[in-house]
Amino acid sequence: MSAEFMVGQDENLAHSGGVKFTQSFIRALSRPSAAVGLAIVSFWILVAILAPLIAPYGPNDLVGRALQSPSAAFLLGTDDLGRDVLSRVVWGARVVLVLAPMAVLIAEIAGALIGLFTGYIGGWVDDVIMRINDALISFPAILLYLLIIAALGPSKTNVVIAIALASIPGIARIVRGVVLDLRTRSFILAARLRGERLWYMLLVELLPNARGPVIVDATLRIAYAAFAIGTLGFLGLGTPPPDPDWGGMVNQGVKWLSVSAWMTAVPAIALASLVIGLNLLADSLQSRIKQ
Amino acid sequence: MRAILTKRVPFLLLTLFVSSVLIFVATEILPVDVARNMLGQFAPQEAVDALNERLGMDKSPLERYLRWLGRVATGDFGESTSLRSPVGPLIIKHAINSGILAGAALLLIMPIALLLGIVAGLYPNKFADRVISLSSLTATSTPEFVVGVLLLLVFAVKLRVLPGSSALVVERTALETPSKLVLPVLTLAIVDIGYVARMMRASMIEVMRSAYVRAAKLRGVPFHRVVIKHALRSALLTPVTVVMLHINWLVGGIVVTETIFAYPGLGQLMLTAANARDVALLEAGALFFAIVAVLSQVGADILYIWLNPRARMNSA
Amino acid sequence: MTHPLLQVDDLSISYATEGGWIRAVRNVSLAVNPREIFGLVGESGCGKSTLAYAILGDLGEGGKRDTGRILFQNRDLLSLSSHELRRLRGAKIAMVHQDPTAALTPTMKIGVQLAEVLHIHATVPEQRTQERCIEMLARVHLSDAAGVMERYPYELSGGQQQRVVIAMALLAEPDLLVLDEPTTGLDVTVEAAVLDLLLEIRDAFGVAIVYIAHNLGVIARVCERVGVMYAGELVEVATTANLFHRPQHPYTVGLLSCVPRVDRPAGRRALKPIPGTVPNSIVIPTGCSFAARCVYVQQRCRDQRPPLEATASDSLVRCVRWREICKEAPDAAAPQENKTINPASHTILEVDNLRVYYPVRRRFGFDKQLVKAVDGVDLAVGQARILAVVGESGCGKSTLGAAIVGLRRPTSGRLIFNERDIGKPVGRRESTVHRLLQMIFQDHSATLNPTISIGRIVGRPLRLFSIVPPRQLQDEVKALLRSVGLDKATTHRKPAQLSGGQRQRVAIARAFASRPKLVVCDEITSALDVSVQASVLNFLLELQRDNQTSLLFISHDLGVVRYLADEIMVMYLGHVCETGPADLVFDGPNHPYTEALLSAVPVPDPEARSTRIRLKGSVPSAVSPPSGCPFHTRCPRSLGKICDEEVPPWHELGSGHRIRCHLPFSGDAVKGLRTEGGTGRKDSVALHV
Repeated sequence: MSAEFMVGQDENLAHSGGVKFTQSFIRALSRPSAAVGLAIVSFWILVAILAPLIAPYGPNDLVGRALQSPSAAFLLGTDDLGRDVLSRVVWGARVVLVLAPMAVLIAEIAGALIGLFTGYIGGWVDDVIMRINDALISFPAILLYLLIIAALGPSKTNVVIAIALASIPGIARIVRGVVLDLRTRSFILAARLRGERLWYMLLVELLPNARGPVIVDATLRIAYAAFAIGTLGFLGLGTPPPDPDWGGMVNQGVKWLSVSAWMTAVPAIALASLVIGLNLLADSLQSRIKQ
Repeated sequence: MRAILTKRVPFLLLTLFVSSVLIFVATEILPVDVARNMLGQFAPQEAVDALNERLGMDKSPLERYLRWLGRVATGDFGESTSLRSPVGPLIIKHAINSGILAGAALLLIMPIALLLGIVAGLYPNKFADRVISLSSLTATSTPEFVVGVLLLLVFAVKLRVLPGSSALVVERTALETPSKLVLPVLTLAIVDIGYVARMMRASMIEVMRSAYVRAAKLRGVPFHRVVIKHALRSALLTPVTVVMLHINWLVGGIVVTETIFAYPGLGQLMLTAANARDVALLEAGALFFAIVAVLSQVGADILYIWLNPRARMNSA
Repeated sequence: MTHPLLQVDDLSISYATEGGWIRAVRNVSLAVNPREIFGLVGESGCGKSTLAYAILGDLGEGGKRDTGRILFQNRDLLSLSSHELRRLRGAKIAMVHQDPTAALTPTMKIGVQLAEVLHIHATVPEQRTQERCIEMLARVHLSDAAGVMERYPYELSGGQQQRVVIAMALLAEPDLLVLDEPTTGLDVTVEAAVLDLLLEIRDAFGVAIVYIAHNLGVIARVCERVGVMYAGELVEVATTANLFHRPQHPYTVGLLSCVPRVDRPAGRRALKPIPGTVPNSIVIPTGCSFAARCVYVQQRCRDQRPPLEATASDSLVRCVRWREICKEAPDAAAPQENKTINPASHTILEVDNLRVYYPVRRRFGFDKQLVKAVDGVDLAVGQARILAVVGESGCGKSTLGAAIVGLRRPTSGRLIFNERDIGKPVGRRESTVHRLLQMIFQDHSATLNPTISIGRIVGRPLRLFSIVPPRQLQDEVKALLRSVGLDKATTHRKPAQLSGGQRQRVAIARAFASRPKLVVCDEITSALDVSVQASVLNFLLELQRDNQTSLLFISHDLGVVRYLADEIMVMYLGHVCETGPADLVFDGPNHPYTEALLSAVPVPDPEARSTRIRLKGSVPSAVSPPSGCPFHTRCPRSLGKICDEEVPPWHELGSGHRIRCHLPFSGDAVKGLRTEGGTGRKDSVALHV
C-alpha cells in the first residue's frame, strides 16, 4: 500500500522511536505462536536458574540401578550409569542456556566490527577480507566445528569458540550489507562533507543503524546456536563427560534404545522444544521489526 | 551468460584457494604426532622421528603447505592414519554413498517443500497456511539427531519395520538395499522441507504483494494465470538459489544422520577422522567439501541468471 | 446533458491499520462524461490514489467501503463479483500507474504481456494479436515496435516503458482510462510528449480519461474539468479555466499561490505556503477539514462540516464562505520586494574546464568505456549569489555538484573555492573547506541519521567546528531550528517523527549551522509536495539572505529556478549550452535546447499556449556522446553538417548572457531569434536563418 494512507506529510507522530520499538515488541508477543515460544523459553530459563532447587539429585550422582523406567524415586527413569535422568536434564539446561547466548554475543560484536570496517572502507581491503569471509561461509559449519574442536579438544569453552568463529563470517556479511546500503545515503554523505573521522563514521553514524538487522540475526542465531550445541554434543564434540549435555546424553543413549528409551528421548525432546521455542520467538520478532 | 561465468570462475578458484589455506592452518594446529599415530604407542622414538622426517613433518609450514598442494594436484591425498588405507579412494567411496543419500533427500524435499510453500504463500493466514507454517517451523527447529533418534525409536525399535542400522555390507551400494536408506533420507528430508517451505512461502507472499502482480490483476488477468505466468518465476528466485547454497547446511545434517544410522558416508568418515586426529583424511575431506560448496555456488549463479532476465544485464 | 460514463456517489472508503481506521476517502461525489478528461488533483495523503484504485474495483488490503457507490455504465463496481470485475478490467476500464516498472512484470517479455491482454479479453482473433500489438505500440510513437515486443521491461527507458503501459491499457479499447500520476519521474521533455499523446489518444479513440496528479501545470494542460481533493474529501470541482482563474475554495487558492511559475519573473510574486499541516487521517475533525489552516476561517467552519454545494459557475465547492471569499487571481497577491542584485564583490567558487569521466562496466570485451558525465564545464559563483544549474536527467548536473564538494573525483580541471584549490577528495580537504562548503541533498528520507535526535544532528557541526562556545550550544541549536520554522520541542525528536518537509528544513539548518560561504543544493525540493516546497524554499532564501551565503542550486524544475536564481546555467549531456543572468535567460533568445525545455514545462494556466517544440527521441548515452554539438541529434534547429562535426562557439549576448551554438546569435540576427511563447517572453518574429 502506498504511503497515502499513513498520516499526512506534515504530521508529527506521537510516539518516540524507542517507545515504538517496545510497542512493536509487545505486540509481536501477542500473537499465539509468539506467546507459545515465550512460554517455552521462559520455562527453560526458569528451570536453569532454579536447577539446584528443582533437581532431586546432583548432575553426576549415581543413585540407582541403570536403565530403569520412571518411578516415584526417578520421575524420568535412570540412564546407563544409574544417574537420574530428570536431574541431568534439569542441570543440562544451564549448559545450553549459558553457552548459546555467550557464543552469539561474542560473534555479534566481532562480526559487527569487521562488517562495519570492511563495508565502509571498501576498496582492496574489502575485497581481501570478503574473499576470506566468503570462503569461511561457504564452508559447511559442521566441518568448521569438527576442525576447531578436533584441534582444541572438546570442552565448554571450545564449543563457544567454535560456534562464535563459525558465526562471525555470516554476521560480518550482514552488517557489511547494511553498511553498503547506508554508505550512499545522504546523511553519510553529509557526515563525510563535515570531514568526520573513521571511528566517528563507524560507531556513531553507522553502527546504531545496524541495530535492527543485528537484533533479528542474534535472536535467530541463538536458536541456531542451541541447535548446534545439541548437535555437537551428540557427535561427542561437546561437553566432555560426565557433565550433563543434552546432545551428549542422546548420544550415549542411542545404543540402549531397545532397552530403555527414556535417557535418550527426554533430552532430545527437551532440546527440540527449546529450539522450537526460540525459533517461534525469533520469527515473530523478525516479522515485526521488518515493518 | 559466458561473461558471468568467466568473471565468477577466478573468484571461485580464489575461494577454493583460501579454503585450502584455512584447512591447512586448522589442521596444523592439531597437536598431532602423525608418525606416532601411524606407528603406534610403543614404537621406538627413533623410528617415529625417522618417519616424521620422511613425511616432511619437520619442515616449515609454508613448505609443507606447498608440498601438500603439489601432491593434491597430482591426485595423491596421502594415507589415512586411522584406517590405514589410501585417502583418495576412501573419500570417493564414501562420497558416493553420501551423494546417494543427499540426492535422494533432495529429490524428496524439493517438490514437496516448494509446493507446500507456494500453497501457504498464496493463501496467507488461512487454515492451510497456518498448518503448513507451524509444522515447517517445528520441523526446521528440530535438530536432525532428535528427528533421527525419534524415527529410529518409532520405526526400528518399537515397530520394527525398518532396519535400525544402515551400515552397508562392504561391496554393496546403498541403492541395492533401499530399505536401509529410508530412515536416513526421511531424517534429512523432514528438517529440510521445513526450511525450504518457509523460504518459498515468504518469497511467494512478497511477490504476490508486488505492484506488477497487482497491475496484472487490474488488467483482468485471471488468478491462475497471474500465479503461474507472472508471479512464479520471480517467487522461485530466492528459494531455489538459496537451496543450492543450502547444500552446505545439508552437510551438517548428513554428518549427524550418518552417525545415528551408522551409514558409511563422508560425514561419518569426517567424524571418525576428527576424533582420531587423522590429518590427511581431514584435509582431503574438507577440501572435497569446499569444492562441492564452490560448485554449488556456480550452480546457484547459473540458476539465478536463468530465472531472472534482469540479472543478465549486469555482470556479477 | 450527456449521461455520465462514471458516477461516484457519496463514496467513503476506510482502511484498517494498527493505529486505527484511516478514512482515506470521505463522501466523494463526481461524474465523468464520455470523452472527457477529468483531472483529480491533491497532495500526498489526500486520497486520490485510493479513489483511482477504487474505480477499478480494488480496495486493496484491508479496505472497505463505508458509504456510497461507484457507478460505471449503471453498475456498482464495488458490488460486482470477482468474475464480472475481471471482465471489466482491462476491457472497459484500464489503469496506467505512476511507476511503469510497477506495472510490467519483469520476467516476461513485453510482447507476451501485451498479447495476454488481448487473449484474455478476446477482442481480436488469435492470428491478429501480434499485429494489433505492434500497431498499438506504433500508435504511441514507439520506434521499432517489433523490436520492443521482444524485449524485457528493464531494457527500455522510463519514457518508453510508460508508453508501453499506455499501449497496454488501450489494447482492448476501454471506455475509461484512469491514469495515476503517469508522468511523475519522467523528464520534462518526455512528459510533454506523453501529455501530447494523451490528448491524441482521446481524440482518436474517444476514451474518457481520469487524470490524477499533484502537478497543477500538467492538470492545466490536459484536463477539461478538475476536482481538488484534500484530506480525503472533494473540496472543489470546476472547469479548468474556472479553477485556475476563479478558484473558490481556500485550499485551491492556497495551492495556486504557492506554485513557483516559470512564466512569472521573480520579484513579482512571493510564494505563499499554506500554514499548518495535513490533518491526521484517523482522527477526523468536526467541521471543515481545512479549517485549521484556512485564512478565511470562522467559528461556523469548525462547528459543522460544509456540504458540497453547487455554485453559480456550475462548479461544486465544499466551503460555507465561498461567496464572500476574495477571489482575486492568486498571482496578484502581495508582491515580493524586488531582489536587489548587487554586483558580486568577489568570486566564491570558480570551476575551470571540469571533466568528470568514470568507467562503466561492460558485458563483453575488456575495453573500458567511459561515461563522460561532465565534459568541460566552466562556472563562477559570486558571493551571496544564487546560481542555478538546470538540465534533465543525464545532463551531469548532479555529478557536477558531487565533484565540487569532493564526493566525486574530477578527471581534469580546476576547482577554486575561497581562493584555494580544492581539487582533492572530500576526506582530504582542510577543515576550513569542510566548514565553509556545505551541501543539501534531495532525498529527505535519507538525509538525517534515523538514530540521532534532531538536536544532536544540528548541534554536531556547531561542536565540530567550534562555531560557538559549548555553553551557548543549546541556544544556538534552538535559534537555528527557529530560523527554519521548527520549535524547540523538535530538538528531542528523531527524524522518523518528522515529515518530509520538516526533515528537509532540518537539513537546511544543519547546512547553515557552520556559517558556510557556499551551499550546494541538489534537487532539494523535488520530492516534496507543492505547499511544502514553498515553505522550504522560503526558509532557504531567508537564511541565504541573512548569512549572505552563495548557493549552487541544482534543479530540473524551471519554475522553482525562476523563483530563486540570480544566474542560470543550462546543461545537456555534460556540456553547458547556455548561461547568464536569470531574467535574460528566461526572456530569450535561447539555445535551442533551453527553448525546448521552456516550452515543455507545463504551466498552471490553461490559457498559456506555448510553442510546441517537441524533441525527437531521447537523450543519447553519455558513454558515446554525439560528435560536434552534443544536442545536434535532437535539435529542431540543426544546421546540418556543421552541427554534426564542429564544436559550437560561444556567443556573448551581453551582461554575461552566453550561448554555445552555431546559430548566429550576435548582431542583427539576435532580434530574429526571439520566439513567441506563453512564458511571458517578448513577442517576436520567427527565426530567419
